[in-house]
Amino acid sequence: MGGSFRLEPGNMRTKKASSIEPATGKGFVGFLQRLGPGLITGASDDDPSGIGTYSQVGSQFGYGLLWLALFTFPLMSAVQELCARIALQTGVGLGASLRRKFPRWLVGIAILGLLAANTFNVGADLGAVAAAGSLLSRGAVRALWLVVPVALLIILLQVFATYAAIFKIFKWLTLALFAYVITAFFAHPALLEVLRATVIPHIEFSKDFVMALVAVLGTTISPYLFFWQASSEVDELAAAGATNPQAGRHGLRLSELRAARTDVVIGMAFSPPRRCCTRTARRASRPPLRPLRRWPLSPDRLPSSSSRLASSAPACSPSRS
Amino acid sequence: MPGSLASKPQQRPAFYIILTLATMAGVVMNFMHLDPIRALFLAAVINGVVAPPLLLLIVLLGRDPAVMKRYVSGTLSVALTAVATAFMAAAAIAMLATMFTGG
Repeated sequence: MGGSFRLEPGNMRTKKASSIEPATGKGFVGFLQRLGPGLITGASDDDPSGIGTYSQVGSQFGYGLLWLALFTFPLMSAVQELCARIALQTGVGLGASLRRKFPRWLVGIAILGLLAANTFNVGADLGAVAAAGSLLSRGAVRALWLVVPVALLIILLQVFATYAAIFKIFKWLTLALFAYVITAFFAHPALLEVLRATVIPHIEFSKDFVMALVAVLGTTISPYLFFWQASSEVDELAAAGATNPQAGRHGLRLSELRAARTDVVIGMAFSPPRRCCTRTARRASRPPLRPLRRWPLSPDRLPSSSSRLASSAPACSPSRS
Repeated sequence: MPGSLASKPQQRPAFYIILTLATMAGVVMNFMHLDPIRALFLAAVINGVVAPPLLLLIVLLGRDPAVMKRYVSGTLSVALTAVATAFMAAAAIAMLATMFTGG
């Protein structure tokens, strides 16, 4: 016990920063710390509705719509970048920004559409989270019993938790999404076929195909993501003390825009590969609606919705309203 | 911080009331015997129909120098976001057309 235990300044660990605190790390760690709204937005694009849609489309059309993952990546990145840029420039949310240019009634109609779509989305996502919970309990707890507790938990979290706390939870939850990548490996897809379907577009002129197309596009480039991106950027600015809530904000620093762009593209990049994985996993586990073998459950013991969710791999992704 | 999770419920009661009401409506939906898997898909379809008009407004806003000042959308941004809007609109219109003509 002769030697004293001293911390060298170089070894001192600085306080872990969330993205709304200034990033303290250097290199890769600092890079990870700076990822913020874009990452969360990209991650929340993989909500149960998205996963459910991709798996249904996969069982219906195989790899037929996989090319959309590649095709939509630059499009969704550009859309989210635009939403981020509008928010950073104006310092207010997207709805308020739209009001600066368009008449009240027009923005009102658009917002009503958003509200209707989101409400339905919330309902569907709640059902999926409850079904996944039922699955985890090996069918002992019925999915419907879980809907109300899950909804209460989400409401309480949103009303009482601080933005920083919610943000931290979301950022950690993005890790859960790597489960899709792992699942894709377990599903043993035909790699060459996957590659071909990703690069070469495929279109069918049927009612079902067009509906599937709208669904995949809608769950990839979703209205709630535009607004979420914009509000998160404003929240980040507010947390950094850069906004004046009364006057709004004027002017955007180039460094902020660059940071937002990196964040958006990384976040969006998080979305399509996983989407490929989900769809690939889904396609490779055909015949349709057969649960993956590694799931330690017999499907007949479960409510039908749960067993079908099991066949589309983990359905719990960070869901928001 | 108008209407965001960063605001306090006391500051923005309307935002939090809408949030809570929408979640409650979502709960009610689950007790209406709608197939959950079908609901996930339908939610995506509804988003696909609502998105194009909103996108159009957003693209137009991004091009407006009065609002965007120096950070008005460049050529690449306008091209990509316009393609997104047009492609989604075409898909949604095609789908609605097949629904109403029964084709």
